[in-house]
Amino acid sequence: MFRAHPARLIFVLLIFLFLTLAFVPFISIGGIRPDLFFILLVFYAFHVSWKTVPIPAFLIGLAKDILTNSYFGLETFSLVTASILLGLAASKIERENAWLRYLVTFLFSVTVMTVFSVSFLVLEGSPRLIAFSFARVFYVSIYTVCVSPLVFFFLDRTLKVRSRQYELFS
Amino acid sequence: MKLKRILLLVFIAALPISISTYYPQLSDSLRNVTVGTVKPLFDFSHFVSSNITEGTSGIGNFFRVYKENAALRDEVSVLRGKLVKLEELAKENERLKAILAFKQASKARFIPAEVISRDISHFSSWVVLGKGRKDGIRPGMPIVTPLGLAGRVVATREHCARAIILTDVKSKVSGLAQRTRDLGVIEGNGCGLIMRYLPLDSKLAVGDIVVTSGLGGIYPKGIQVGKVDSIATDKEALTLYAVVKPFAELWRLEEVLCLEHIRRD
Repeated sequence: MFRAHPARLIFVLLIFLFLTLAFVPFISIGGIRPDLFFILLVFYAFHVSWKTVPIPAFLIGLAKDILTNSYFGLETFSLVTASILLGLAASKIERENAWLRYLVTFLFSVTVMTVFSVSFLVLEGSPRLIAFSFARVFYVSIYTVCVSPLVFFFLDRTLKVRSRQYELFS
Repeated sequence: MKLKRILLLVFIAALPISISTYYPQLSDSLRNVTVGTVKPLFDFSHFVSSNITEGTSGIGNFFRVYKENAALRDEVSVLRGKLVKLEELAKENERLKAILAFKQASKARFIPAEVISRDISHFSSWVVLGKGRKDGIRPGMPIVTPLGLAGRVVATREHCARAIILTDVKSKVSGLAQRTRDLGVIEGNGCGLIMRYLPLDSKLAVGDIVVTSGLGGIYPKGIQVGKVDSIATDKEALTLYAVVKPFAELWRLEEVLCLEHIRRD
């Protein structure tokens, strides 16, 4: 666990928003694109604070809700709900294991989008989204995991501010 | 994490949903205002991404582009010839319509606009256009690409507009199978298009072209939408539905034309 300055976090959030708007559409395959925010939240839960991960999830969700055309609030709800589970999971597992980090990224991505699809079904009462979304959820999650090593590397470099270590026996 | 804290978090997370359920206008206004406010960011990201695309393709494919340019020049001259012929045909068509006392349903004017931002959600499809009210863009205007229909404008600001893409789950278009003349409703499902409510005895086949029917008044008749990819029977076995592959590359829109559709009643 390390300290991350709030200003740095906001800076990284803005960079990710910019990347999502400007570059991610260019690497989309048939409309399937990775979600950088999912990776950011997993990183936050693993290396910053698993207890407070719903806070950035709420902010990201709200930004997504404002910048999309889907039912307002669904992105926030699905991200916060899944981030609560992510926080609980992160508190129980070995957070330095890279493979576990990838596995959790995949599961987190699946959970967020499944919560979104089910909530949409409940609110809109239309099964239109559900029918074709399972394959989409899977592909988006796989793609997100594929790009995650690069993003984790970037986050390691930008957000990692190691806590001071003191000699116990000097 | 204590149960109380979890419940509190879920409650806070559900607040935006309840706001949009009870005050849908509020969330829509918030989106419009935000899009108008962050337009400089959209412009900047669009500027950067288009420069990078142009730069990389320009350096990497210089010779290919040179050859393509020559081929395109030839094609343009051929198309110009065809255009003259088409203009002649259009005039002839107009004369014939007048003779047959056909009522012209609409007269269109196009306003070109650049896509400056795309949707960041995985389940909704909309874009932000770089032109708005001041340029003559109005809510309800269909947006098209040279390949076919792309969607319609839903909200406008002074210098930008939000448009919904056909694949969005909220999008519905009245469609017509060009060969069989079967009517249906083309709906988005988040990633593709489905044409529903086709008659059971329809002779629709894979590869048939689907166009707009003009019913409903939003989209003019005869705009290409896509090609039938597969056909199946609905759960209730009362109607058929077809999966339609859109002609326009809807997830990669860069420039669109906003169609000023003037209804003549």
